[in-house]
Amino acid sequence: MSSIAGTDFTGLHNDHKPKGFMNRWVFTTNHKDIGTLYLVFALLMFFIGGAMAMVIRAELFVPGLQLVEPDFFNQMTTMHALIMVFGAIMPAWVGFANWMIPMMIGAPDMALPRMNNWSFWILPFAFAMLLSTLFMDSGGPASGWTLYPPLSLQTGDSFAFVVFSIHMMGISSIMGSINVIATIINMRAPGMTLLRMPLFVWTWLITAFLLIAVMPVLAGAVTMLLTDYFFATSFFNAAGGGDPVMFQHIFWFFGHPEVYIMILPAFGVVSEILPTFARKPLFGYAAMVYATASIAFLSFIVWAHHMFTVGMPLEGELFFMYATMLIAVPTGVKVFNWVSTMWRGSMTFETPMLFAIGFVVLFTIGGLSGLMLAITAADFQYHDTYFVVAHFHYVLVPGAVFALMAGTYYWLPKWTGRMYSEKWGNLHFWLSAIFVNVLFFPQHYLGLAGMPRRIPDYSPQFADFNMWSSLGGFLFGATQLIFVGLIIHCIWGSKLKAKSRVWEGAIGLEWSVPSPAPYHTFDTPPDIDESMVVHADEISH
Amino acid sequence: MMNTHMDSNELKQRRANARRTAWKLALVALLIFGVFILTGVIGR
Repeated sequence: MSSIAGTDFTGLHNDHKPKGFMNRWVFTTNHKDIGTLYLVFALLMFFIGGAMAMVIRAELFVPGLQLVEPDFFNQMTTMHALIMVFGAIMPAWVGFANWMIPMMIGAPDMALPRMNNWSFWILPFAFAMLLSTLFMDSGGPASGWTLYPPLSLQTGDSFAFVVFSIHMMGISSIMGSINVIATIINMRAPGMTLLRMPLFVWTWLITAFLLIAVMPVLAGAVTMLLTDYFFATSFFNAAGGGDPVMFQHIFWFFGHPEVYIMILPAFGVVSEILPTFARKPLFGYAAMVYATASIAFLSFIVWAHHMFTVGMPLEGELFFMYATMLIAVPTGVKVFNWVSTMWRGSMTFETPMLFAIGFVVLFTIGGLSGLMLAITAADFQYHDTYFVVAHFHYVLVPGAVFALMAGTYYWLPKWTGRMYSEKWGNLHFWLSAIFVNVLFFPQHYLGLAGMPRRIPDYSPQFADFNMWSSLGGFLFGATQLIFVGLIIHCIWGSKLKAKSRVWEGAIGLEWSVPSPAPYHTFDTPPDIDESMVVHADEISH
Repeated sequence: MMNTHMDSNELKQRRANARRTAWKLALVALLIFGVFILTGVIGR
């Protein structure tokens, strides 16, 4: 258990906030305020991206063209993905990083607070620019979030806005990552050794390195697209001697690590929550760290499994198939360790635990369909079908999004100082868990039956599963309103005050500070004594 | 009991180190961007 000595949070100094809206929120350099800004922004983007998903599912509710023009449908699929990936999931994780990393490692703030402010405030402008393309003559991007040429080069002049907004998102992500790494490397409290850091901090450290490695690659790829469109270069233009397949290689060299950028922090959050509610230390802490690093390394050498059908040499296809399957090993280590953490634990099932268990079960389904897709020969059938859509949505929605929900419920009392309604939280989980499966499970069958992705109309044979999927989608979307209501009630309506250590089994520095966490924490570094044991590896020594 | 104390000078030093870390990482990011553009241009 942890013990913190010599840290006084009762003085006024710890809780003085800047006066006025502008000073508090626009010019803020406080990691907690910037974390809140990121989280609010991400929630807003979830609903904008979610509204686009509703348009897609409404159009696909029955066969035939119903509500929107095919080109607008394509804009919706593209924008839905760009907004959910870059506007919702990634900023939400950066919000968690801002709030939690300094408190978890005993640092007074992020290492570079002013850059932190800038990292956030770039984002609203980037997304305003991206969304503005929907109102331009040439419309928004409609080539899918992968922006494959030559299709993406038919976007029209609004393409410049798309590329520039991606550049801005990339700059924001890189600055955020630099801040995370600089903070973890340099600002840990004395005694907080690397292998004592909470798993969430470890997963974010590795995620930040991934981001710095691959965001410049995406920036390079879209810059070359930009010059192909506006300056008559031929990087990817076959007519000028370029190679459109080269774009796919470059894009997925970014794109596959990007998948892990969205899921590694989820692994971290789940690794925090399961030990708390199982009242047992995390099983195999060191193995979890090494597994995370292994997954990150492997993510760089599997990119071409996204493009098995472009016509690669057999040796290449075999390499990417086996390398991809190798990822199942460290991922399996993680799932095994999560299950072992719960094994014979004194488990209780508060909302964060429900979402964390939901994550383990449903993410594993997404992982297994990923293994199916990794089989090159089988992928020739699955490629570009709804099976792929089902696969990555299982990884990202009951995977990354459920982990975000779990983390929010877990730390919301620490952020607000009040308890949320457990009854409504349970209802939110069960409705989400049911409807997310109604939404995405039928898509496996649609894909296996041959329904292509990114189409507004389909053969009548696919009608029943599409109707189920759309119903699940509408109900899953509506269920998320409970989440918003619950947060609003927790902040402004809840009468239940939260304790410092909100959860009985919680271990870690963040639980040593009062709830809500004072505006400034750990101005004086905490004393971490040797009884600060956070995982079973240390107990066994 | 390990040494757990950190005075304000050390905090300043840590922030300076953090800035150095940040500059190095920014250079790495710029280098990767540059290499990809350069290989694109040379490859053409």
